[in-house]
Amino acid sequence: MHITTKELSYLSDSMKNEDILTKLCVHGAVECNNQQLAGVLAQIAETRFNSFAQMQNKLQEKARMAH
Amino acid sequence: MYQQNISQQSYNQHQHVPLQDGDLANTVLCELKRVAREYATACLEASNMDIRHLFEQLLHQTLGDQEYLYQTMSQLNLYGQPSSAPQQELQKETQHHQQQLGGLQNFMQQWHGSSRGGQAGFRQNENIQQQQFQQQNQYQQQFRQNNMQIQQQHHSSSLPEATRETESKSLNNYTTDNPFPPVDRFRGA
Repeated sequence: MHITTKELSYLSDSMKNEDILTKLCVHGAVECNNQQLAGVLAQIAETRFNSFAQMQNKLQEKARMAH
Repeated sequence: MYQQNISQQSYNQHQHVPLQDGDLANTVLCELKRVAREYATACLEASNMDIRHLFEQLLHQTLGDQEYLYQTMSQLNLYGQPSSAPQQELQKETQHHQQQLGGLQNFMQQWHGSSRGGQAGFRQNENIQQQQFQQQNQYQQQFRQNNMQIQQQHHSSSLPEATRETESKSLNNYTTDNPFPPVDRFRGA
């Protein structure tokens, strides 16, 4: 099924969000003093990166279908 | 020129002020909450089921991350503990919504009574009756337990035999399997 303009716009915005969130988590993991918190932020950075990758995969899939 | 040098020096001196752990964590927590809201909106707006499921999945992941970070912050005392709602306020709200529930029940009864209710209304009735039946079963169990306690007390008391028998019989009348009349509140409405 084709992707609408609105959905594309939401995907694009969400990928921007995940990009900034991943960087923010990595920054927090490096900068913070508490080791437990640093570990949690590092794990969250990984999941945010995966979310970004999931959306990129979906975009690629839709792009292939459109051709 | 002199002033510019001064302000440049001042900027350089304060360039690397680190954020506290709490501030860092709070910034990420706020971002997670914002992103979760955006995923919920995207999910609601998607017409393509494939895209909707992706946003749903991402929403769940985000909620999970937000909970994980919040729990950690709470453990490390980086997040203020929320205060309990006042008891009086809670009771007031409960009473208000109880009245509202009564009004809503009447409204539903009227709907079921009208021709538009149809089969859906009948199913709704059945569900409500089922819930009430379960509630009755709970009451019955509680009643039986209380009854047994009372009976035990009576057995150990120093009442005369005849009185004890009468008391026991009258209590036993309520311990039958179906001490409550059938629920027909919504039936035939």
